[in-house]
Amino acid sequence: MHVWKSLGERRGLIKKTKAEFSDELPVGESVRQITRRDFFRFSGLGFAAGLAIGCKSKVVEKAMPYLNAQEGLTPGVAQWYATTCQGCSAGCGVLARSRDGRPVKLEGNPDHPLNRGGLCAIGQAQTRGLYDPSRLKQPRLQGQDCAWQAFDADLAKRFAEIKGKGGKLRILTGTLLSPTLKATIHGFLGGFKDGKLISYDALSCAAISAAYEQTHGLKVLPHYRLEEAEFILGIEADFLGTWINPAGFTRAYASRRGPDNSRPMSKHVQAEACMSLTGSNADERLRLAPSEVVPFLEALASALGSGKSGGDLRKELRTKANALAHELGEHRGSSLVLCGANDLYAQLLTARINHLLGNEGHTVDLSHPSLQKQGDDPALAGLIKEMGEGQIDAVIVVGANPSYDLPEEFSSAFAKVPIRMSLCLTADETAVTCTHLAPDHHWLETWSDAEPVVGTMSLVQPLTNPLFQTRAALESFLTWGGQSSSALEHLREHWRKEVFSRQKVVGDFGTFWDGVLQKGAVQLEGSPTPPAYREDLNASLRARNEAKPGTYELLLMAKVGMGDGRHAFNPWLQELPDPITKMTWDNYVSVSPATAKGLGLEQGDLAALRPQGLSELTLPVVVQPGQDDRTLAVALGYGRKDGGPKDWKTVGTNVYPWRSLATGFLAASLTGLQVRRVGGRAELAATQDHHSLEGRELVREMALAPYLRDPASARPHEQPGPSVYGEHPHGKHRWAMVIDLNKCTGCSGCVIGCQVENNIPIVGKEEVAKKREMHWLRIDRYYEGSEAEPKVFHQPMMCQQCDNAPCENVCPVLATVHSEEGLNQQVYNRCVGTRYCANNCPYKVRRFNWWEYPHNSEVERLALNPDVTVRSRGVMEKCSFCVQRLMTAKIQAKNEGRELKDGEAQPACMQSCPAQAIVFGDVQDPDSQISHAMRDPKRFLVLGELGIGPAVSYLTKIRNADSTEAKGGHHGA
Amino acid sequence: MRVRTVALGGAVAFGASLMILAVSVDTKLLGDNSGYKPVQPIAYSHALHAGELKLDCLFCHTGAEQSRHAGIPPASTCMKCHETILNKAGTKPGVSDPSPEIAKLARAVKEGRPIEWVRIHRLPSHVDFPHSRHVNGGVACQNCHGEIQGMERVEQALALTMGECLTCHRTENQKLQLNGKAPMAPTDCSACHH
Repeated sequence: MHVWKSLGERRGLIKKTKAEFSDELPVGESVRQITRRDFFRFSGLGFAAGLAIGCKSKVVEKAMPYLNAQEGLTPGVAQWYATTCQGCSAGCGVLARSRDGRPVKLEGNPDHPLNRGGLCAIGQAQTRGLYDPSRLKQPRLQGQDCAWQAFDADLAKRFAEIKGKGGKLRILTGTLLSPTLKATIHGFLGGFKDGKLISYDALSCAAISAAYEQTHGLKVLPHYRLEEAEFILGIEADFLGTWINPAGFTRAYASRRGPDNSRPMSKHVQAEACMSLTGSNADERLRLAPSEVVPFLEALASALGSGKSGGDLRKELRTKANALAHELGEHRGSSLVLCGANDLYAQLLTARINHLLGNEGHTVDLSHPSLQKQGDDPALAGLIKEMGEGQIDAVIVVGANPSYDLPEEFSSAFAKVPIRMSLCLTADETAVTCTHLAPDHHWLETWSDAEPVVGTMSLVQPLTNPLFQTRAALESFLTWGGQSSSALEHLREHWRKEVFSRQKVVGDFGTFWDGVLQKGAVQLEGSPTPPAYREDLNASLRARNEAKPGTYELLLMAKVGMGDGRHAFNPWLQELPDPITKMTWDNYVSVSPATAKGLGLEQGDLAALRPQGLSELTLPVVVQPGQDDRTLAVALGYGRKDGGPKDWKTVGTNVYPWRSLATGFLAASLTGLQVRRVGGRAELAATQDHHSLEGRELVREMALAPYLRDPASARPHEQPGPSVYGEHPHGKHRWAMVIDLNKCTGCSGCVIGCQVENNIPIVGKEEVAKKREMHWLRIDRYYEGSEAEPKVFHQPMMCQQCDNAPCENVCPVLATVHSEEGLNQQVYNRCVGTRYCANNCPYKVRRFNWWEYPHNSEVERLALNPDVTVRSRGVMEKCSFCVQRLMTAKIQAKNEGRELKDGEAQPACMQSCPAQAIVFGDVQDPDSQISHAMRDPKRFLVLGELGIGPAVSYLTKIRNADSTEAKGGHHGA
Repeated sequence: MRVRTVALGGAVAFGASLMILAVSVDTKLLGDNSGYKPVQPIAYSHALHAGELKLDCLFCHTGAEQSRHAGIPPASTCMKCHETILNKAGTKPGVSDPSPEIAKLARAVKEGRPIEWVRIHRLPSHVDFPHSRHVNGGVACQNCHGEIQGMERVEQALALTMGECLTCHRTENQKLQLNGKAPMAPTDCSACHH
């Protein structure tokens, strides 16, 4: 098996660096500029100053206790509260860790039915949004800061005017997960003669619910149950990365990806144009241009016995569709077809196919439909038309940024509305065009609730007092509606009336409320009679136009970490390498290797793109293996200009203006794309080519069938290499980790979880380009096979905590030494920064602080974890297995006079993993989960032949595909 | 120009370190603050409370058993006693103590202004010292804080250097008995430095 990290490496274009650590510390220049005389003169000054300071008393530090004791709060002890993530509209449950009254870390809530303990990268990064110094600090009236009283008085006058003349008021929101807020907004709108609430999603799924309205008579988005699916066909749907409910889907998907589970391992086929995170995990993947989605679905439906076979379709796709229809047919009721195209016809076909396969009620849940995408694109188009005609008197935008993420026609129509208000967090692109700004609390400061899937209800509770003079949206609407109750009172009242009555388990509301608040979520009954399919199966569906021959198609996609762009000013997410391209701090146009060759484009070239009838934009080129040859792809969510720090340089290019509502839905694909090479190159900051494989093979894979015949055959044949050192003595514990490559999807939630937990600095684009990123945990992505249709591997890589660690015996100052629990310790206060250790580390997981990374802002500093030292310049650092968390767990167990329980001590990466791919624990306990994992025949070591005894090991990836033969690395089968 | 400034700053630092070296040769180690005895905003006496009245340390320093910080009690905790319990001045329950020091305390509570004590015991930020483990492990407060029950004004008794930590973690702790056996104290770097 020959694996490769990048096209450059595959084609032998990467020059081997002879001196990998040749960078000098950037101080040499300055020293050469001083004369001997200068040196003594200034030394004298220092001596005198030292004498003066030495004689005076020490710097006085104050210790301020609370004035009044806080109930339940002991300074220095973490408190955990259950709340609901509002980072996107998926509504995952989180447990927030608060230290001394400020939230510092968010973790998935194991008791929440959707994500069950995991959390994605965006969710993990939410504390940064709370401690964002560029947040609005008070309301703004006509561009002037003002007090809430004056603001409300002005609004009352204006609302009265609108009411008086029977005017039109519109409230435009993103998906509103909170039933209480929705009810409150409807209550407020009740006071107006013509008031409407319109929702939209920047990454829209409106065509799905519109299709279900036609096929089932009810406008619903089904809740897809991937845990029930034995055969998954994903079509242009990045459900593990960016689509609807990524953390929840990942958990459900991964639960069926183990070859040793009691239920059979699922098979996943993905058809898509651009290599998505989901496609990279598929057992089989086929390349499909966006214009081929509808004909492909038609061919599938036809092969399943419904309707005529559609228009033109490449022969190999038609054959594939027939084969897939056969396989799907073998899994009636346990298959699932997911389509991400926001196109009504595609979704009508998908609904029909899932119906033909008998998946409704099994993998397609209509009793508990999803509320995670409530956008209604036709209603949005209607609003834009009304605004453009000057009919609307006031628009209130809640939790959305339409001037940024909607087509240009929105902004010009919005400007014609006399009263434009936004309930936002920062002065974003929409806010700067508004007359009124009523800044909302960050969700970690507010009371609210969420119902992401019908029947799954959770509460949002504040973790801290509001940092600024902001007000919760719920309270704002209550105030404007003439009610004076607080958000908490109103929420409790709503739950007493609307939610408490929906359950029969708890008899008393107080107990019910406390229970939900403590646990984080409650599960209620859904609809007993889900809507049934009622459309004529033979009704023919109109296929849409295909691309003209000779031109390209463009796919506007979302990137893991950036999503729709609402967190574009979050540097954690900007510096998170894309799971596939490994690019940071940019968007770009992805082109297939063959197409790039045809167009004369190379990685980093600038290309001008002009979709038919639209403006031209210039973007850097990234050559992406596995991409469809006819399709180019660009990520949405970049090019944000307003709402960030003053000195922020715009990152990437905004391609939202290319989308249109012409089909009635926010389409993500465009045809008639013209591409030309323009002169010049862009510097791309990718972490991909950093470090070379040197021809070693670090991942192993095997096909399912031979594995099931003989699981022991997965065991690596070669023994780990010999060592010149003896065995290390170990104390009470010996920590180890096993990462299951079958479950790991590469979603990168762990990368951000690690960064937040361990105060890992952000270095910026220029430094990443110099290979100086600081992530302790990276995810290596390997390709195998052809450039056109490669297979992909994701391998989380962090300090392997080697027993005979090569880093330890080269440190001249003993700053990295072995602990009796098997940890490779890095002692910052001893480190003098020789970087010998990093040079000698075969895994390249050590990180050096080239600069004093700034923690200047007082607000930003609040996001730091007080349990972990903030490192200074010139110090080496690396993964510690979250030793601070191990210590906390051990101390608690000892204080309680008991032994540490298995699973009690969890590193941040393990805790955050939505797929539960990481097992960690004490191998000296034979019954622990880790001890079981260590005995797995699939277990292998990376670079085991070096004989350095890494404490981290991996499980061979098993692919549910017939063609794959058992293949391995050096010590493989 | 900036690089030059940096370099000259380096020269200043070199001089200063010579000075510090000169001073530390015949006095004590760098960072050794033993003997530090600052004047506090309120002349609280440990000799009276912990010595004469024999209040348990944990009565006020409630965090010591659960937290890394022993904690300084909130002013409201002090006032619980001083508003209700007879004291040396002999005033009746419910009447504030007339002592000028307690008047300061009462004023702070009334004005809603936390008291700014001067911090005495301080470990560098790269050290994590959990009080709870030591207190629950049977280490007496006096081991690190000295004979605090006799101090009219608190003074740092020990140098609080790593050498002192390790002496105890390696040998001294063997004198303690916890559930009938000597406690195991870690000497791994990452036990305290992370």
